[in-house]
Amino acid sequence: MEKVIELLNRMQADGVIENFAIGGGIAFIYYGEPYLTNDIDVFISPVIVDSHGLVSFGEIYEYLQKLDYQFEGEYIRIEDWLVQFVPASMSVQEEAVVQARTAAFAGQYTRMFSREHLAAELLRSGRLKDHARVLSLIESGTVNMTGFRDILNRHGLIEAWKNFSAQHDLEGE
Amino acid sequence: MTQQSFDPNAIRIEDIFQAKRKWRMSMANLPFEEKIEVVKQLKQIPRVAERNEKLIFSAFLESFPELSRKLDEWDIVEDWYRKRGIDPPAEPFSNRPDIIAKTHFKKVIGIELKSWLNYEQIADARKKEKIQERVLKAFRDQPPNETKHVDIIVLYPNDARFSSQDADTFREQVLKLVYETDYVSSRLPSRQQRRSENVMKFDNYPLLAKYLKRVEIKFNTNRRHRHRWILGPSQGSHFSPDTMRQTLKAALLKYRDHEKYKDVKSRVGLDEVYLLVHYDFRAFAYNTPFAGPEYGFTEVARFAADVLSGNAGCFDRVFLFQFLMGQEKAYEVAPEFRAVSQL
Repeated sequence: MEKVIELLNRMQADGVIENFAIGGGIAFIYYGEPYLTNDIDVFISPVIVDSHGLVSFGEIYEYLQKLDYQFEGEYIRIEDWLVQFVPASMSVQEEAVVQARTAAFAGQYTRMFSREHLAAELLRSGRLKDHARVLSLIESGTVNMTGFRDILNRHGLIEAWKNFSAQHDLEGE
Repeated sequence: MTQQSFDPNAIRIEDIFQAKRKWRMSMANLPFEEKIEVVKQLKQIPRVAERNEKLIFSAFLESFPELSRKLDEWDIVEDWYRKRGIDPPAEPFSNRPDIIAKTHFKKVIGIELKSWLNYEQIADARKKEKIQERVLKAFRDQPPNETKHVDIIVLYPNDARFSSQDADTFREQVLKLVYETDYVSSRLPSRQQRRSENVMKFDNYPLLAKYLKRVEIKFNTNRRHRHRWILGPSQGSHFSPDTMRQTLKAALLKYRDHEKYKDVKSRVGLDEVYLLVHYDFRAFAYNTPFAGPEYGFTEVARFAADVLSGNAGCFDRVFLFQFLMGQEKAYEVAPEFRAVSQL
């Protein structure tokens, strides 16, 4: 993990990525209980698009290849972690990157989705395991519900929240 | 629930969720570095599912000595290929059976393990429990029972979320209904008096109509004094045994005829493939115990055999296994019905 954080900070310092934040499973672990995961989702912003209108990771891949990192599909292996660079293409992801909080790990600092943005993004992505994590975050009582609702409002996720909260009996939350 | 008072039959779904919540909170409060250490440790141990599969199949073999004696070797599917240096069959990986075994006569058998467990049912049960708790909160301090005939009343909540602002009026309306019913009952000649009454129409009780499906009022003139006489439906169990049987029926039919098992023998190179449906502690804790005074695992197995009517579908044999510590029992339920464990 130290190596991953070190590399991300170096990439930012070298201008390969402008802004980034860790989301997904590792961000959940930062706030919640640890569970088995191999991958680290690094959301990057702004999203760079090539001449064909496709998201471009060219500069990132080139940079990492020069440092002899191995690619496994869309992941890059750093020690025993699989790191995935995810373009923050959804508005909630973009805001999560911009408003990410600083997290300390073993004497280094990195950027992490806030609880509220993490819960909103997991709600948006909608996979069963993501929803289980939303529930866990909400039930922990540590999510600022006013801030969370504001995020949902800003990014058109209120309807998804209504369905989710009705399904899990969270109407009063 | 303390160690001394532990009674598995008294576990409520909410108890399990609360215990889990407490554990999660304590883990969530660890420093980030420690959490990452836990993740690293988790990577070193076999998947929980794999361990469970081993545990379940080992217990099944212990309960089914006839099969156990026939087997030369067995493993969970990942280990079967890895330990023997065999190339696994082509993807999709998830379409392979959970266990692969080889008999002394070199016959290769695949065993698919399926839990007789319904997550939707769990979620639904939890929701119902929460609703029931909120409704019963209105009766946390139970008033003395000053009726003539009423022994206990059971409130059956509907799915509406109970607002604590309604608690006082709700309580008043419940008691009004009970005392009115008691009055009517007390005026009936003794031969016409009933043992219980189900009230489902709440025309004069708007909050009961809002929150309850029905109220069961049980009468007993020789009633003993009860401190708690206003109750929710049998605490900890929100399903009838029939719901449980229907869950099993749905599971059996779904697995038996599932597309992904249709050509599993040829794809994976098996001579036979078995389906092992197990009822384990999770199912026990989360679902209605299927056993009643005259309805036990044997009856459930017979029910399963009736559902399948001798048709094992994509499988050569279908087994039902009760995987409760000290109460392991196994039946073959298709194509034939027979007890395979020593009962």
